[in-house]
Amino acid sequence: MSDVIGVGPDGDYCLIGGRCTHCSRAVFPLREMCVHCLSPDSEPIPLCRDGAVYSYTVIHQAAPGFSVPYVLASVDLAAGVRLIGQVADPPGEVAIGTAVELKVEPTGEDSAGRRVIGFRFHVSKEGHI
Amino acid sequence: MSEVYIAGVGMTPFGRHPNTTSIELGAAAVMEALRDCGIDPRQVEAAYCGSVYEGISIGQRVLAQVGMTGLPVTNVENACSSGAVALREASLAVRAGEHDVVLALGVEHLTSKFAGAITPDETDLETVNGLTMSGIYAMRSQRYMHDYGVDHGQVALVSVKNKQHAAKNPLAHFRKPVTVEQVLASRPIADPLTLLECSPATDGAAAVLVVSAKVAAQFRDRCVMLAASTLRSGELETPDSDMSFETLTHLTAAQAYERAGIGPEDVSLAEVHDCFSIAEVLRVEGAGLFPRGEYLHAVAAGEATIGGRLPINPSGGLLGKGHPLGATGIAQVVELTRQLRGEAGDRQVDGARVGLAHCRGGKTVGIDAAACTVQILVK
Repeated sequence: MSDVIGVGPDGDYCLIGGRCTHCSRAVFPLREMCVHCLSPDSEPIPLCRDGAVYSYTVIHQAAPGFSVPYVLASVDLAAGVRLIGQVADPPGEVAIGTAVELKVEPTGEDSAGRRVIGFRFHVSKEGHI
Repeated sequence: MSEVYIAGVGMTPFGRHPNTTSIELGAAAVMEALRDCGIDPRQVEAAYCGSVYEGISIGQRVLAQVGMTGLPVTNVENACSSGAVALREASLAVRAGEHDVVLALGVEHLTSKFAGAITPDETDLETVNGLTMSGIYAMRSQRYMHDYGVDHGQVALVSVKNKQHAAKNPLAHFRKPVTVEQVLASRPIADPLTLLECSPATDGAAAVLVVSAKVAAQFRDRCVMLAASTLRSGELETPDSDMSFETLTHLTAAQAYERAGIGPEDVSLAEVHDCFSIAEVLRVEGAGLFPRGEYLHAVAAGEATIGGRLPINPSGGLLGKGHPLGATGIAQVVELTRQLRGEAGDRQVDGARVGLAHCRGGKTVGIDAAACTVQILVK
């Protein structure tokens, strides 16, 4: 995760994506060339944290190492990327269109007991957008 | 490009085979395909083998068990489309004039490899975040239900239909029909998907012989034409991407229709990649076999059942027949070949003339799928 986490303009941790200097579209993560126009000139950008749930599910059967149930969502960030990640809030709090905020935070522990830093979505206090 | 034909087909029973190895399953399927058209094994010039979790050189290991050595063997991994891509590669070798007889096989002993949810590659960021293959399709189902105003019971009818078809297929993993109430009441996997809306972990193998027009002339009554075999990879998902319509399936099918010189209105039956109930909906609407947003109404009206206007997954599909990953794409073509020959027994589709097979599998970070294939077979 270290290459996709950085610090945003507000001084808080955020995800780092890419923006193509040719077609202006954003991607996550940053790739060698722009996925849309194959321009080699993409620059890293901090992704703003506001987004909305495009779709979601509650996972009851997971890969080994995950505690179920948990909420997983496809979220459209205002920066122009769609991301898949867990939602920290309980299932009843999430619906299509729910406004969420992406937070870089500890998401668990690895097999050696070290904290794993990742990202999760939290339902915004403002509710639906 | 020259014409290619499917001459011989074979597949093992699909199911749990705790006392049989993947090598034995693969060898049984190959032997049946050879016997099916009576071709001399010495005529087979090359082989392509699809699998996902079978390890190093599975194709050579199977063929050594058959007794076939020395020939060029290529092993193909392309997620759930692995078998379909092995067949495509075999067909390209024949079309190019490099070979006249090529074997395509697929094998998977999945029950010995997996417990719990199947995921994309475990190091992918999305998998690290908890994504499973069932989770992907659960989100697609949730969104489709939202966009088209259908309920879970309507989606669950796909499982009912396919398990009803599987009950007529002696090679199917599940041979017991289920009710929509049973589907909805089965164990939750990833909301809204329940256990009976998910294809099972299955062991099995399938094989087909792909031949040139010259060789097909010797086995005319056994051959069906493979009129098109197309492959595409997935595309980036953006906030503009529509989860309720599969652009990837649409593009792969459009290319296949163009190559075959037919349209979706000419298709008499289809075997599509129903790894989950909602997946069948997305496949058939993406391939233009039913209008967008209307497939579940057609299922409820019996149009997609054997005897209906356009039977979908008469074999039972992945939901009923089972899903041994690498074998799946080949098994679809085995079914279509038998249907077009009129050899499908209790599940024969009347007037079967054009069959379409569709596979789609896998995912990489930010991209909607790994590989999508469409094959069109013509009597």
